[in-house]
Amino acid sequence: MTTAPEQKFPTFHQTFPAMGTRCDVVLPNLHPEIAAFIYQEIQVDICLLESKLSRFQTDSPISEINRYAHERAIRVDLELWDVLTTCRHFHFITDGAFDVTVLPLLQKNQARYAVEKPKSGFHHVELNSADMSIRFTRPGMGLDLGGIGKGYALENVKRILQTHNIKRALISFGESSIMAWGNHPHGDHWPVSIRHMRDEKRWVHEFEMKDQALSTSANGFSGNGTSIHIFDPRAGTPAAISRAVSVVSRSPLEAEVLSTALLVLRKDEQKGVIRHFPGCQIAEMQYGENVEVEVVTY
Amino acid sequence: MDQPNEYSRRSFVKFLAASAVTMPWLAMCSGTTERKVHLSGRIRLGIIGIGSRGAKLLLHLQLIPEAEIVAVCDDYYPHLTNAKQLTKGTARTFSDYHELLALPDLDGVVIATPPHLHAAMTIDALKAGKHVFCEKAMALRPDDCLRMVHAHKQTGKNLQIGFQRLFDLRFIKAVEMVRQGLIGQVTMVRAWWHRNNDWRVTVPKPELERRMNWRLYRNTSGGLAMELAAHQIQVANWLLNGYPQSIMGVGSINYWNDSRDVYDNISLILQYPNGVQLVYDALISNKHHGMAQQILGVKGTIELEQGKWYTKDGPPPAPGILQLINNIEHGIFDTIPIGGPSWIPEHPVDYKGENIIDQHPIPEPTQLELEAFVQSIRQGKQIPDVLEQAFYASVASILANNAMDTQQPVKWPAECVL
Ligand SMILES: NC(=O)c1ccc[n+]([C@@H]2O[C@H](COP(=O)([O-])OP(=O)(O)OC[C@H]3O[C@@H](n4cnc5c(N)ncnc54)[C@H](O)[C@@H]3O)[C@@H](O)[C@H]2O)c1
Repeated sequence: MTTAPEQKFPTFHQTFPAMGTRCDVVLPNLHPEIAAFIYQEIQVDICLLESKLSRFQTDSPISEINRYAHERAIRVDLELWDVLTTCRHFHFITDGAFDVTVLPLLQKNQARYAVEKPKSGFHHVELNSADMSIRFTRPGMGLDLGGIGKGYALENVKRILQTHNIKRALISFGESSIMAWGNHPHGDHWPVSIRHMRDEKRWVHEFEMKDQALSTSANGFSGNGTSIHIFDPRAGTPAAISRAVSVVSRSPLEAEVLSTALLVLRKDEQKGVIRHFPGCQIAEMQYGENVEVEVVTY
Repeated sequence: MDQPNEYSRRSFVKFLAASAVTMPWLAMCSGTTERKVHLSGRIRLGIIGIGSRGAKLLLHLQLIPEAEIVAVCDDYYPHLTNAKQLTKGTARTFSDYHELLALPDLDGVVIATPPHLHAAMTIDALKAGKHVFCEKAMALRPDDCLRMVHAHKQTGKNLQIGFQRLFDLRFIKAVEMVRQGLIGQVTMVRAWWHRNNDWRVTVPKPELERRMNWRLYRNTSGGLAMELAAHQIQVANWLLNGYPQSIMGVGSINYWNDSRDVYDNISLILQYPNGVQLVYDALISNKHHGMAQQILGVKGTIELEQGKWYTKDGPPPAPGILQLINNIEHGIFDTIPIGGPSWIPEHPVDYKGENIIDQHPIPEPTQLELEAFVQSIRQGKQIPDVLEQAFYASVASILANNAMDTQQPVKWPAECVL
C-alpha cells in the first residue's frame, strides 16, 4: 500500500439508472459541491445520449431508423452520425465480427435464425455523408446499439472528467463497462477485477487500471442478461457460449467493441483483428461445466 | 487467483477490520482465533445455567479451539447431566455456582440462567476474578444493571452481555449503510416480533412450574419486552446512536389467560432524540407477520430481517462499490471485484429489494460473539461498547414494562446514563 494522500473530502458516490442498467459514479476526495456538479453533468449527458441511441424509447432517432430506414433515408444529427460511422469503422476492422445490425437475430428464437440472417449485416447499411443520412438496403433490418452505447457514453464521461481536471474517478456502467480514471486514492492505479460468472464470491482476473476503460462481454451463461445475446453476424448463429472476454484500453469504445468481437471471432481470426487495437490488454475466460475457468491473457 | 473460501474469509476479516473503526468491538473478531493452540494456553471456561440457551452456547464454545469448557453448573439435575454429556464427561459438574466460581484456574464464566439471577451471579463471578459473558437481558431492575457495570469497573474483569446482533454481519452492514447515508436521514424505525404459541415449556412436575416457566412470571422475567423486544431495541439504539428519551406503552393479556402474569401482547413507542421513534409490537397469538426490523429513511428503506433494502428512486449500487468506498475511507487498497456482464434490473422501474449482503451463509453471530469473548480474555481487554449497548437496551426494556404497567410515559432516568 502506498501512503495515502490526505483525504480531505468524503468519497462521493451515486447510482442512477440508464441504458437498461445502472451507472455508478465514485469520486474520491472532491469537494461535495464539485462532486455533485460533475455527477449531474455525467448523468445528464448519458441520459441525453440514451434518448438518441435507445431502441426501447419509441421516439428516439434509432427507433425512427428501425421503423423507416428501409422505406427512406433518415437524416441524423452530428452525434448520431458519429456513432454510426464509428460502427461502420469497427465493423470493418473486426472483419465483420462487430455488427450493430444483429437486431433481427436478437429478437428471434433459434428456429428463425436462418430466416433472419439475410436481414442483418452492416454491409446492407448505406451511410450517406453528403446529408448525414442512413438507409437500409433490405427490409426487416434493425440496429441495436447496446454493444457500443456504454463505450460511447464513457468516452463522453472521459471528456467531462478531462474538462474539469478531475484527478481520479471510478465510473461503472452496468459493471460491463468501467472507467478507471487516475488512480485509487491509496495506490498508483485502480485494481479492478472480474467477477467469477458462476460464483459471486470469487474473482478471476485483476487489471491494474489507470486512465483506462474495461469492458466485459459474456455469452451463454444462464441468468440475468447473460444468456445467449451475442451473435456471430457473419454466420447468423450465436457466438461461443460459456465464454467471457474482458478488454482494457485507453479508449472505452475500443474496449467495448473488441470485447464483443473477440467473443465472435474464431481463434485463428483473432490475431489479425487485435492488431488493429494496439495497446489493449485482453483476458479471455472460458468456463467449464461448473465453476472451473481458464483464463488466457494477452 | 483467489480460492473462494480464502477470498470470502479474507474479505470477511477485512470487512470486520474496516467496520471496526466505527464498531470497535469487531476488532476482537478480526483477530480470528488461532487454529492450533497449546493445551496449556487455552482459555478455561465454566458455564452456569445450561438450559436451552446455555446448551447452545456450550456447543458454540466447543467450536473454538482456543477455549476449553472445564466446568458446568446447573441446579437442575437433568440439565446438569445433559451438560456433562455434551462435554463428553470432561467438564467438572457443580450444582452450586459458588463452588464453580471457587475454582482457582478458571479464566471466565458464561452465564445463561434466567434474568433475575444474572446480577448476583455476574457480580459474584467478577468479584471471584473471572471474566463474564452473561446472556441478555442484564437484569430485571435498573439498579441491578448499574451494579453489574460497577462490578466490572471495580474488578477490572471483562463483562460482555449476549446481544448477538452486534455481531451479525447483516446488521453490521445495515448500520454502516445508514451511517454512509445510503437511505438518507432515518426518520422512523419499526420493529415487531410475532409468535403463536403459549411460550411455555412442559414441566415434568407441577412444583417445577415457576422454575422452568420463569418467562411467564414477573418476579423472574421481564416478559416480551425483555425477552424479545430487548434485542430489537438494542438494534434501534445502535442505529440511532443513542437511547430513548422516553418510552410509552400498553400491554395486556388477551389470549393466554392462564396463571401467568406477564403480558401476552405489547405495543411500545420509544422516543429518541431528534424526534425519531421506534414503533414496536410483540405478541404470541399470531405469527403471520413473523419478525421485522425496518429502518425508514427519506431516501430508502432497510428491512433487516428480510436482508433487503430498497431505494426510493433508483437502482442499488453495483456490488463491490460500497466496499470500495469503505476501503477508500479507511485507507485500504484492495481489489475491486466489480467487472462482469451488464447488470439488468429485474423490474426496470419498480426496483425490487436488493440484498443487504451477498455473503451466504453469514457467520453465526453467537459464534462470533463468543469468539470475541475468548479473544477479550486472551487480550485481557474489555470489548469496547458492547456492555454499554447491553445496558441501554436492558434498561429500556425495563422502562418499557414500567410504562405499560403505569400507562404513563416513562422518562429515561438521569442515573441510568453511563
Ligand atoms: N441471546 C439470545 O438470543 C437468547 C436466546 C434465548 C435465551 N436467552 C437468555 O438466556 C437466558 C436463559 O434462557 P433459557 O431459554 O436457556 O432458559 P432455560 O430455563 O432453558 O435455562 C435456564 C437454566 O438455568 C438453570 N438455573 C436456574 N437457576 C439456577 C441456579 N441458581 N444455578 C444454576 N443453574 C440455574 C436452570 O436449571 C436452567 O437449566 C435468559 O436470560 C434468556 O433471556 C438469550
